[in-house]
Amino acid sequence: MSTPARQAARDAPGGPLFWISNAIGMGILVFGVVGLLRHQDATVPLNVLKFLAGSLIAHDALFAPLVGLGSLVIVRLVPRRVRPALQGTLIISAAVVLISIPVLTGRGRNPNNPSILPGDYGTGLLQVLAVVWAVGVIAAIRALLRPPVADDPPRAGTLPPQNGW
Amino acid sequence: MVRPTRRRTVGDELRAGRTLGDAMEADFGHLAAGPFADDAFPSRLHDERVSAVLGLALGISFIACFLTGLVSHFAQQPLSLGFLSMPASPGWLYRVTQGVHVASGIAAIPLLMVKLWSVFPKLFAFPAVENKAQIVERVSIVPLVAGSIFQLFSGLANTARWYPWEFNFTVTHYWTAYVVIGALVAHIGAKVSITRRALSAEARRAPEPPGTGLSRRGLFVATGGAVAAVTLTTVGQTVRPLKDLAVLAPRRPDVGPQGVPVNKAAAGARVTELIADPGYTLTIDGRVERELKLGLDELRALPQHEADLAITCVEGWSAGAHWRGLRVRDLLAMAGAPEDAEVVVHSIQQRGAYRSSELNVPHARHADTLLALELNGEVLHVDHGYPIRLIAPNRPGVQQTKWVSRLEVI
Repeated sequence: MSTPARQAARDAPGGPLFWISNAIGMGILVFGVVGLLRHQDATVPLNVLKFLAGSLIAHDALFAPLVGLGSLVIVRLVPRRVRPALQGTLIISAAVVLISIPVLTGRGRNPNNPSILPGDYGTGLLQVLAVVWAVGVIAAIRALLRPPVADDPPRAGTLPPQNGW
Repeated sequence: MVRPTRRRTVGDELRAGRTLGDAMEADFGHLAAGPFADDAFPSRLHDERVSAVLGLALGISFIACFLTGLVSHFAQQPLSLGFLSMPASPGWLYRVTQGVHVASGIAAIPLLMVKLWSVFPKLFAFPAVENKAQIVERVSIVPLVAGSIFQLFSGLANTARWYPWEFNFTVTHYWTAYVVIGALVAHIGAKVSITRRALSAEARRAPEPPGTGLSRRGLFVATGGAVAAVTLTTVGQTVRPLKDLAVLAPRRPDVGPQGVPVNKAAAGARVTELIADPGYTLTIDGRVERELKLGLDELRALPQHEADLAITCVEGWSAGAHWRGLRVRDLLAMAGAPEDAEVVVHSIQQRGAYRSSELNVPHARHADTLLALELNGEVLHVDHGYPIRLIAPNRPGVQQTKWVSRLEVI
């Protein structure tokens, strides 16, 4: 890591390909923005803007820092061999939870149309998570039982600790 | 980056007799340097190959989502579209494209989640830009990230009929798609050389970056597992063999009156009294030689035709069913409509954005385009459009007008 700045400089964008794709991309983007503005009775641009900003805040200021904090705790509490299985299980669990939020709210239910949201989504989510965590536990046990192999990372102490954000 | 000795944890410090405050300082004090510090993000998975592989998968899913979204958009437009007008066959086409639209959007959610994690340290990169091009590039990340989250969230919420916003979903989702795809095109141009390097055979053979925790390969397996999990638990809403796994899908393809889901119920459309009228008639007028007014008994006495056709909702569910009713083309012939007749199909509904739809020439002439009176061997349920509904191949469900009262030839 002695030359991170030079690497970053080398990887900085530029050149004709960048500018051409940028011109095309910005053209498409402006077409979209103009469309949003021209149909403002339907699109309510200020409300869209609120949700766009909310998307960034929800990810950058909420979700990502929480993941970072969680990692900080896991690195300290969870045995190294179990960690990969736990990380994988958490990634899959987070995805499943995220995509079930809209059905879990049940806000789309309509008394005169029971074919909308017919399921019991709380139970469904728990069933899915149970399967995911069962697989995770199996993976963790296998990792614990596996004898050390040559390409295993060396024992703690010889590598820099994984701290940080 | 490299720390000389193993960091002692809070527990180590407490056992050594330090106060809690000092122990916390020893273990977490370096975090005070904040996310801009060089070693703030130590995971070995903040790696260009990780970002490149996930970026490629995400790019493919976004492009699939965008193109199938355009198909759906044009399928719902009025007829004067020329070659963009939807063909009547193959009958399964829209079912596939709309299934892909919703499934690729759902699959993109875990891909985006992990991709954003992998590049999150770049948000705090210092110096922030190396050249003029990078100013442009970093600014265009804002609409890309915000727009991507917005599109995936609004699309997913719409499938569950959850509208926590003030804008019209269909119009806004359509125009914002251009914002995201435009920003994506610019982003691809900015990242193509890094991506090519990170995806090269040489990079593939390179050893895993050193460190603990999940390996690169492990992260790909886990992300693939997440994509599989969200897909398997939802895609059964349109892929019937997987319906029993679809515990997180907003619809089941076999749950609804007569075993078929409903988008708009009769009570919601406020047609309950109108369709109960014994004087219900179907009018065929417009560009015809003789206007027809047919009562229900007359319609039932005409030759009936059967067809297996799917109701395919824009929201991503679909359900195949067996329909029986009158061929639209036979009715047009009875009225003496010309060969090139296009038809506006009107519902008896007084209100609602989808109370009429248009049939282009291929749809109007197709043998399977029916005004159905029966569904799966029974008289249509009121929520499926009793007494008469349109059902035609390769069409969005909102265009399969229910409670039909008039065919207007144009």
